[in-house]
Amino acid sequence: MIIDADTLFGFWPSRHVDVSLDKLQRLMERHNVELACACSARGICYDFQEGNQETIDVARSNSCLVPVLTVDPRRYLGVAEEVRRRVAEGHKVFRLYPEYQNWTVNTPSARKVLSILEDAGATIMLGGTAAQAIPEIRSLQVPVILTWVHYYYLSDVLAYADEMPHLYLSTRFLIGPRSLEIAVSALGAERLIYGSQAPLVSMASALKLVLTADLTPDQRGAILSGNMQRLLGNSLRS
Amino acid sequence: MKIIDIHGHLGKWCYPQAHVTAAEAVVRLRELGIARLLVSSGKAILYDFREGNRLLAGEIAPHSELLGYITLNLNYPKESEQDLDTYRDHPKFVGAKIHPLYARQKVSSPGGHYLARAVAERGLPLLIHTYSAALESPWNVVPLAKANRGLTIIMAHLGGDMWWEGIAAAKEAPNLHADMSATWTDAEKVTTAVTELGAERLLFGSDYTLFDASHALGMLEDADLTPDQRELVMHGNAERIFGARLS
Repeated sequence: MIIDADTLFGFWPSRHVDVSLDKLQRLMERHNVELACACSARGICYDFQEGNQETIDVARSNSCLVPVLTVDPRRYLGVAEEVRRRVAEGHKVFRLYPEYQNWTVNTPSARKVLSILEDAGATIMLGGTAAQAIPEIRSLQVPVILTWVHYYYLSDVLAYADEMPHLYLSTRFLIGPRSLEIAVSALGAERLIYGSQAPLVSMASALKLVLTADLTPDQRGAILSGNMQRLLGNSLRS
Repeated sequence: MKIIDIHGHLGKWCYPQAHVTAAEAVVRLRELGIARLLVSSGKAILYDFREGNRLLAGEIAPHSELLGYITLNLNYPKESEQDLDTYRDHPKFVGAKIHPLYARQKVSSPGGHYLARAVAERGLPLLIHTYSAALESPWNVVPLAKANRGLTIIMAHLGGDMWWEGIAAAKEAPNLHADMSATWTDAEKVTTAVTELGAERLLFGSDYTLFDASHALGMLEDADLTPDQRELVMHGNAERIFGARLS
C-alpha cells in the first residue's frame, strides 16, 4: 500500500500548472497510490477556512483522499477557533505552508500557531527550512513532519534526530545518493514518510526515490504507508 | 528504452550523501537502466580543474558506461584552453563543461567568450550550468550562442527553479539545448519545454552523483511525451550531438 502524505488540489495561481483533483487522482492511479493526504490550494493561496471546508467536502466524496487542513499565521485571526473546531470534528493533521506564503516559523505569530496546534493535539506538517524549524519545534509534544528539508540541509535534522523523537521527515527532497538511507540510519525508518507534493511536482520522481532505495521491505513499507497510517490513527477511514 | 544521461559528476560533495565511486555509479546506472553517463569532475568544478580533469580521465577509463567532460574554469581561460587540447582527442572525453557559480563569474564574461570560442574551434559540445541567480542565469549563455553559431551549447538545468527563463533564453538561438535536471521537478516543466523548444533541443540529465538519478527519471516518466519525443530526449539527441564517442 502507498500513501502519499503530501499532496494538494485546486488551482495554482503562480504557475500555469494543472493541480486539479482530477490530475491528482490520475497520478494516484498511474502510480498505484491508494491514499493521498490532500489539502485544498484554496486554503494555501487564499483563505484557510474556505480551503479547509473544501478539503473536507472533497475528501468526504473521494474515499482515496485523507483531508489535511491548514491555517495561515499571517492571518492569525480565527486560527485558534478553526483548529479547535476541526479537531473536535475529528480532523487531526494540519499542514503549514511557509514556503508558499512567505513567512518563517520563527515569527511570534507562527510560534503561537504551533502552540495552538500542540494544545489541540494535532499532527503538524511543516514546510520551510529545517534550520528555522528545529529550534521552534524542538520541545513540542506532538508529531511534526518536516516536508521541505532538502538533503543539502539534512545535517540540521541529523544533529537533533536523537533528542527529538517527535520529529518526522518527508522523503520529498532526500534526493542525494543514499541520502534517504542515511536519514533512515539516523532517524529510523519509522520516522521517514513518503510525500510528493504532487500534482505541483512529479509524483513519480519522489516515489521512484523510495522504491529504488536500498531498504528492507519492512522499511519501505513503513515509509510508503505504515508510518502515516500510524500518525493518522482514527482519522484514517477504514 | 535506451537512456543516455548527459549531466553527471564524479567526486565528493559537502552534503550528507554517499560519495559515489565510478564503480558504484556504474552499478546504480545499471539498476536504473541508464546506458551512458557523461560526467564532469566535482573536484574540477569545486577546486582545481586541472587536477580534477586528470583524475577523472583515470576514474572513467575502465568503465564503458562513463564518458567525460573537460571542465574549464572561467578565471583561468588560457590554462583551461591547454586542458582542452590535452583531452580533446582523448577517447573518453566528449565535451566541455563550465560552471559559472563556483567560478563566481558570469559565463558572458570575457573569459567565457574566450572559452566558448576555444571549444567551438575544437568542435566539442559545451555544457554550461544555469540556474536562477544572476551569476548563473540562462540569459548569460545567449551571447555565447549567438557569437558561436556552430557551437552546440547545452544549458544544464534549463535555468533550474526558473526554468521558464531557460526556455525563453533558449529560444534566442537555435544552437542552445538543455537538460532539465534540478531539485524542482515541476509537473509541467518537461512538456512545456518540449512544446516551446521542440523535443530536438532537450536532453536527459540527472546530475548524478550529486542527485540520485531516479529523481530525474521519475520526472520524465510523469511527463506526457509522444514515443518519438521521448526517444529524442532520452537518447536520440545525445547521440546526434555527441556522436560516435557515445558508442
